[in-house]
Amino acid sequence: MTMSRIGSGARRAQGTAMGGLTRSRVGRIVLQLLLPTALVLAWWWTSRGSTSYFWPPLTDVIGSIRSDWLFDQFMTDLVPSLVRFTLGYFLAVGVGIAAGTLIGLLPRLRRATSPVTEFVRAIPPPLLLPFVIVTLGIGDFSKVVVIALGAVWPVLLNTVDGVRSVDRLTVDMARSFGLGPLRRIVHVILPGASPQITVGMRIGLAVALILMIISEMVGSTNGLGFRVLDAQRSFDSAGTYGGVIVIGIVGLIVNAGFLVAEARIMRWYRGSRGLLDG
Amino acid sequence: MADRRAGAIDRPQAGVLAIDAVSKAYETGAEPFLAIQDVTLKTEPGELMCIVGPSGCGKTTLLRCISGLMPATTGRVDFDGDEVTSPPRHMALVFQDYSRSLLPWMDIVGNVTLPLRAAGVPRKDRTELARLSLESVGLAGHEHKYPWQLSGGMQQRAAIARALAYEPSILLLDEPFASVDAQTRADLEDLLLDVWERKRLTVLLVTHDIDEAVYLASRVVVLSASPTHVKEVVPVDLPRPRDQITTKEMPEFAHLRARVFASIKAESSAGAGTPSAGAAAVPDDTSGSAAGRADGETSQKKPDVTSGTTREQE
Repeated sequence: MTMSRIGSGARRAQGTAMGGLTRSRVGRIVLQLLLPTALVLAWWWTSRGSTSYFWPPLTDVIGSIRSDWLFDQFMTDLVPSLVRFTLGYFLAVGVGIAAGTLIGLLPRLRRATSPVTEFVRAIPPPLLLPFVIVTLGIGDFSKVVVIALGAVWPVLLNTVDGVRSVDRLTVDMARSFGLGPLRRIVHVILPGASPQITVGMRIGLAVALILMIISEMVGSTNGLGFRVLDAQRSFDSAGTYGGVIVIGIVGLIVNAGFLVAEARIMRWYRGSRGLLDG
Repeated sequence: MADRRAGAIDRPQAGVLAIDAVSKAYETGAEPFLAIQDVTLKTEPGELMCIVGPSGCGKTTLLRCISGLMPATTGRVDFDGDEVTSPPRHMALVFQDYSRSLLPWMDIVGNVTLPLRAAGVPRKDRTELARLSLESVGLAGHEHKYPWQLSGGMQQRAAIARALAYEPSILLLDEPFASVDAQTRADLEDLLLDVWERKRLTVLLVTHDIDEAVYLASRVVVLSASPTHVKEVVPVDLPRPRDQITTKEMPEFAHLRARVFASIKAESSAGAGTPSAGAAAVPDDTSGSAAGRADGETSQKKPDVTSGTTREQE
């Protein structure tokens, strides 16, 4: 405790020296850390010495995370989960953007496909799981397909909308300067649709994470989802809590990575809307 | 490369645009709406022609037909002897709305070189052309900024630089200075004159500003209310180089201006059948730019004289 107080005091002092902007940023970070810290402390305080099966001491939970995930199940469960997630998600993004662009550009294709896309997107993604298991089995490939099948819709539908809403004048400009269809797509239509595409990718990311876990809870022998379910079934409540926390941390990191990449790639968008701070 | 600056570039094209009996009808609702009817025009090589007309007449529609962005219903457009069916290589466009015609995801040099990439100009030449044309519009040093980091006037300069780097023999401008403030507008007009004189391009400029048209043009084409046809072609013999102050002080300038103004005014009241509408085409930046944007889109359906502001310029 003493250490952390000195640390934050030093940060605060430094912030003052570096001027208002930095100080407000430090202030923001402190504010954001306040509630999580309080919750963890409350959890630690209320659970200490607990003998209840449903409410294991936080120290036990942390102990199980340390023994299970650092690094016993890291290679056997965490890495396979992430590989399946990555493959499924990027498959969804690739197919979603490619198909969405075509559908967005071709009104007739859009009319022809919309009944099907509207139907399939209305199916709750976890429901795809039994169907895919029936058709593709329970291997890694079928899990990748489940993730991709769920995450593709937000990407695809947002791409269609984004492509359709690209400014006609901008496209006219490109045509007047002799840009062919491919160049128009690469340099004008996709960047023009990219704000909407990233919205779809963000929704797709959440769907992909959910499906990664669910696909591992059904017919699986490894993975994050499998471990949590396994711990619960073996009455290992600390392990169950630990698995949930690890999944939460994975989700946090994946989302943060996405936001960092988005902020860099879409800098022009915030800039052109006057939203850049600095 | 140095000779490009002097405007002595060898250009096989002369920049002659021949518009022959062009009509354009839109299929909207029950009966087709005739936006332009039987427009016939021909540019002299290297001339600066300005087209004015009452608001809502098919100026933008005409420009889209001329530039090959949209096929005419009847008639034909020839550019240096070839029929225009798609945007020709040596024709460059400058749009009114720079914020939509420049790509915000590319820096200025990226915007300027994109058409050159499509035209297959080698990288080294692209960079050089971009540098020279940006220099000629006074944007040297801004190459790596993004459009949204520049002022409106500078963005329109960048759009002009993009058009110039494309090495056109004709430059088409659609109300290019309607979205900038008066001072910037005067600067950009003089920039255009400067570029036109040095590069010896043919320039076709659509505007709703009569002063601008008379100040810039060698000939002013007055369009009728819709369905649009050529009402009158007014030669402008004012001496060059022109100057914002001395040229506009000349009695001949006032005379020409009045003549064009009267022509348009008669047209917009006659065409609309509502005498009170008056000269809706007279400079009124906001309504003018709104009409300009809507041109060729929705407002084509009826002549837009509803703004009805008979505003004198003085």
